[in-house]
Amino acid sequence: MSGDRARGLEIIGGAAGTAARLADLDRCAAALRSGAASLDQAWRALGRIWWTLDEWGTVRLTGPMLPAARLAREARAIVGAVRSGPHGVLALSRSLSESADHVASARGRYAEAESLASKLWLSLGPVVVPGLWHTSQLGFGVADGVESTWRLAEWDLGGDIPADWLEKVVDRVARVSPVASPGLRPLGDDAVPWVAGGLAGLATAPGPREVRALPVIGSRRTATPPRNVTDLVTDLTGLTGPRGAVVEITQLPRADGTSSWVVAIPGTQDWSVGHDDPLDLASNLQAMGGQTADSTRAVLAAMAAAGIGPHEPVVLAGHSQGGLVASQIAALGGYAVGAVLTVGSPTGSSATAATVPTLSLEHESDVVPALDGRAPSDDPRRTTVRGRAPREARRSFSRSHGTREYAELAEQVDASDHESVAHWRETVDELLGDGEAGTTRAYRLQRLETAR
Amino acid sequence: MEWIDACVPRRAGLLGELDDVRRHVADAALALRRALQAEWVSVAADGYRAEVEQHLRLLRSRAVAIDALESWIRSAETARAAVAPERVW
Repeated sequence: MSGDRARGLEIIGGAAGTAARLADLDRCAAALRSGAASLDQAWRALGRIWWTLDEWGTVRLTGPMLPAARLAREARAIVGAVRSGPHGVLALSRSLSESADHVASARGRYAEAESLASKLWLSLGPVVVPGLWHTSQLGFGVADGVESTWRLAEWDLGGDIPADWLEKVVDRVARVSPVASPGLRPLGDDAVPWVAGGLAGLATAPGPREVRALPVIGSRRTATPPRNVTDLVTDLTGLTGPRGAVVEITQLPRADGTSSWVVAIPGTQDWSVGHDDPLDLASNLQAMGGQTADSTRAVLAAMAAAGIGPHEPVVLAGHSQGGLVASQIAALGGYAVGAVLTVGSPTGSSATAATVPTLSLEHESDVVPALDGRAPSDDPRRTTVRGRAPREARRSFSRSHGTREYAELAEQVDASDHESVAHWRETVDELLGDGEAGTTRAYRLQRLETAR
Repeated sequence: MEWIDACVPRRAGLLGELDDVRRHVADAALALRRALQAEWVSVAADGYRAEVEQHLRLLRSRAVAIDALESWIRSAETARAAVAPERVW
């Protein structure tokens, strides 16, 4: 993990994140307490046996009952040792309770550390530097304005624009948007889905739009199964460019006659609205607004056309909007999606919450992941890896967002031994099995003009 | 399969009480196995796992002692039943 820091990687959430640790500790403590409670009940049942034997052994007897009473007294002594002796059931119950207390104490220390960190952030919030900036219409404080100037100056000199600052800007802009906030309605801490949903409503015609997926003639080829994150990102790299809205679906046969599947989904191909390409701006807004995007329905159509069975394991990999689509498909159900990879996608809002183990790659200088207006959360289902784009790409918004540049980050992720990353890799390995070769086919996604 | 890993039927009398003991001990063993399966990702996980495994070993040794109780209780019950109460009182 220290190697990750040396490579400039920041890894948030996942199986080794704080939230996962707290949930694990809760489960461990509950199991130990349950064990102690069962042993307490065993101790009480042994008590009932002990009292009965005591009665049998101490009753005033003469003649023929004497041997029976002696046996009862001997049995009572044995029961007493099993019940309350130094290694008896009661001692073991107390030992389990102590272990549960230790685990609960560790959980408390984790939670306390998290709470302290939160308090520190809150105390830093109201810092005011007087008289330098006036952006109150955007809800910015003076200190935010100074920070903005400083960040832009840094970027102009060749530095990064940190994603956390961009997220703050997006969130503040979203809060004052008239689409999201007519009147003075409070938006809570997740304003972007409101804005995106409102804009999607303005950008698209009402009612369902018909979409379809057609196999690309001549696209069938033999493919080796992806064996790491770099392979998955490289598959996405092959989808960018002039091909338009095309997804690639790889079928990997398994020994039991079923198949595993990998679906590679590119990012936005058309930055306008109202055309036949469903991977467009309107779909972006729909997905970020928590609506089932046209692009999501089109990819689902491609998966159906490919013949993916409802119980066959699927790994989804998506770049930019493709990551939003992948998250939506995993959440919708209908397919046995077991893992998702998102690359440069704004998936931090509640509208695109992870429902399966998800690995999210983000460049610090990539503005697109920051469009959700949220810092990556410590979510046990989502592992977010933030790293630096290659030096020559950092001052270019497009190259900071490019899949070729993300392939370098993927190589660093493959070299990481962080538990959260390792857990996601193991999940994918289990889903894909150890097949040697599969078949890849491309599908073109279309929104039918006649339906608009 | 040992009774500690199985569902335990209940008999009548004092042996039935012993069946209750077995059932509760089997529940405790199940809880400990659950505690082992919890995916605790931490540098302290190895120590925790060793501790729970030690608890489980102790519990299994208690199961052997509880089995030994069976013959003592059966002997006491048999000896008491052999002497009709009317001959005592």
